[in-house]
Amino acid sequence: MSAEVSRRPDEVHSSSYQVMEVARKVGVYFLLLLASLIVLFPILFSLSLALQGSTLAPSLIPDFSKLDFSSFGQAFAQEPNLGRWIINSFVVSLTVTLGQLVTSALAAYALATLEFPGKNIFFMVFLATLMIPWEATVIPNYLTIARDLGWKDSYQGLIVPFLATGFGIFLLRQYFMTIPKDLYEAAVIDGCGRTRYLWSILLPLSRPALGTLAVYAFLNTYNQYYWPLLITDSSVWRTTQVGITAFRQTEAAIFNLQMAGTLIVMLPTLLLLIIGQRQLVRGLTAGALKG
Amino acid sequence: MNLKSMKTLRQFFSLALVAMLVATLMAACGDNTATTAPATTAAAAATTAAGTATTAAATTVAAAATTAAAAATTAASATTAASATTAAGTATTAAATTAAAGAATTAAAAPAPTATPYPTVAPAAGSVKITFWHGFSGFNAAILQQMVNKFNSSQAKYYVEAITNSNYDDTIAKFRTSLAGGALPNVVQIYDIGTQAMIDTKKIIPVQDFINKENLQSLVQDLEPAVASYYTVNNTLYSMPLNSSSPVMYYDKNAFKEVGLDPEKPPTTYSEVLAAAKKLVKKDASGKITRSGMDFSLYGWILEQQMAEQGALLVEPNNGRTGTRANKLVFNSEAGQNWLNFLKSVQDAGVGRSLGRHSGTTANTTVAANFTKGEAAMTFESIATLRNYITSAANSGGKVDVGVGYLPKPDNAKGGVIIGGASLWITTQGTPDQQQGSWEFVKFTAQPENQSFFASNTGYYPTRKASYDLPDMKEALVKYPQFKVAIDQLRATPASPATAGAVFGSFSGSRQNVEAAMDQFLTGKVPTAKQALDEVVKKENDRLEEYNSTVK
Repeated sequence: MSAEVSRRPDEVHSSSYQVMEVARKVGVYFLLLLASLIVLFPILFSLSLALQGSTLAPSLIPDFSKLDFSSFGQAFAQEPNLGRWIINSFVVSLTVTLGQLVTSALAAYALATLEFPGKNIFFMVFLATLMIPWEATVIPNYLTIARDLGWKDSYQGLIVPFLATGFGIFLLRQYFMTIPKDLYEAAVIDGCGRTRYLWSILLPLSRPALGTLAVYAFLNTYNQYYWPLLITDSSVWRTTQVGITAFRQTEAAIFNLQMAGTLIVMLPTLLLLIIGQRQLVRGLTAGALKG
Repeated sequence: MNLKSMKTLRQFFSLALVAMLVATLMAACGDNTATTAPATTAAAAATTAAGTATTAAATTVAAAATTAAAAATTAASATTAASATTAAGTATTAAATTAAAGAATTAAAAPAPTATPYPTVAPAAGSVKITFWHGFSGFNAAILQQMVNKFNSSQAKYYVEAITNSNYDDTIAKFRTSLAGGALPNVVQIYDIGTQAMIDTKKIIPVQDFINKENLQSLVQDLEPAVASYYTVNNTLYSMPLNSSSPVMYYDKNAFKEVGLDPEKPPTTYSEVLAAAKKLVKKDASGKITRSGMDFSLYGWILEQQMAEQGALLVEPNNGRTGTRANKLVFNSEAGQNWLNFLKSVQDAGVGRSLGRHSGTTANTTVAANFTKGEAAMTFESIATLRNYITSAANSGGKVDVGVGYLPKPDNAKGGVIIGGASLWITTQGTPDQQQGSWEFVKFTAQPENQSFFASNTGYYPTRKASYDLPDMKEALVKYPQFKVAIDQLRATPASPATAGAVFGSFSGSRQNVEAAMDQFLTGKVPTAKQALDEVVKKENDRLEEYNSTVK
């Protein structure tokens, strides 16, 4: 673009235009830099605290002459299960995400495209579950999982209560409803069955909604605190969010180990997001293009 | 639609990324209030993004987004309520040390060795398993595990499995939830302010029962009297104290010397503290404080201490200790007002600073940083943080010589301090054999040599008087002579219901309301201390009444 501009005959105009262009770029990059600093602040801040040694009085910017990198090693020395917690968190979050996608998609498919008696009542009941605060269901869930099924300290206990969600059903149903019925009828005329329609037509068309639900489910599960705390006793079965509290000192606020631990458990998720973001966005929008 | 959804997705990803970072960070800080909040925020953000994404495709969904958002709000407020119950106690009481403290000896020299993991010993064949929940983490958890290991290898009949639940609040919250399912631990460590609530679960066996059965009155007599009286309600010792501490005034001896105050004779009354603060304060040309005479956070625990310092009750009748359940909070009395007015007078004189509410904030970090860097000459904290203060002062340039004095009180007030900390409770869970094993373990932790080991490594008081005659405790006192002041302060406290401390059911969760009221007064939003305290007492009495109505 700018190359084309510089070939213009009007030299004076062109040079002032170039200056403008450079200024604009500088401005844009400055804003981008500022924005990324703001976004990255939590990471930079925790890195700064992690490198200041064990002190009650850290400063915002560390003293670069005496950075103390030992906290990262110490974190692993103090909690050898650190790696296992990350694995646990991923296993649980990914399974729950997959489970929610499957159950929500099937239920939403039925609610959006089939006609059967009591359909609206079912839908209302699903909606009603959204109104029940999570805190109200903790104890019944705990009784079922821990007492009746004996699933303390296991992946089942961490995963099963979250495999279905009213929100997911609702979200997908609304999306499925926007896809014209004509498509279904045309598919049927061509000899397509219900399962095939769901798998080959409806789901590919619904990638944006599925992607949204997947990310939402993953984040929610990854961030869980109280349920994993309740259902796990052994250090081996803890998830990262519960596990990293082990780096906190009982009375004093000393941050270096906490922050080192946090950075360590954050890294895999962060890398996944950085590597996967473009892919994920492209996949999601490609689905939308076809629609 | 494509462009729109692209944009929405991008927005969504950045939102989600930020939310996740913040949530993880907060979780690491260990503050549950904070942990749940960002998680909800992330959810809310995701919900909103989800809402918009769908709207791009269909208008019907607008309603959807609203509903989902409403659900998120409900969840959020419920979370807040839930955390309100749990949040208050964390920093509350007792206290302890830390990796830094443990390494205080090696202070600046080598990089501080952390609490190395203490691998558990294997259970002996055929041993009876005792499940023990505690709220320690980090350094203290490692010291506790060593004590558990010692018990496990000292005999083969019982095997104690120690399980950490991150902190005191989460431990009692998990215990309460587990009450319904019946899968309780055999032994559980609960903080001081959970005492009445634990008694009310009716799922615990008072340690007094075991003491009576084994005629172990000598053990009770050797307990530090102030510690024993805290855990004695209605003449019954309900739980065995494990870790205890009390608050003291920290002051900078170097600053005292600099302004001509006697560094070995810290002020002990409100008026003396105010006078000292006036001398200690330093301001720059623009009048900005560069060293304050006294920095403080608004801490409910210290207010409770100040009631005891004046021999005043926190709750009637008799702080809930003599048979009748506590039913009326009275900390809006003159004693409570005195403390608030004192803090205000220090602030108004421009010689001290309020750093705001204590619970659920980082005010104590700021206070600690200011004090150890020499930017504040006096402050109030638990004696258990002594080692951290000393280490941090050394790491921050060594300008501060940490001195410890009595918590100040009004002129002529007759009273003293209340201990804080946590104790071990034996539950009705399990077989009689397991219950006996639980008692054996609890008794083991209370042995003078084990208390001496625990206290000399962590910075708590030993709960046994006999511990002071043992070598490791003597050594700790030589290394930290300031600790002696805290012991003297505790022993100078006259025994009374006021200094035994209050027990009432809704105690956990009350401090943050009290601190909010203090903040209202200190920031001038409420004109008088009386009005601020009256309002919070009314609110807290409603909570107490509600609690009492559920247990009768």
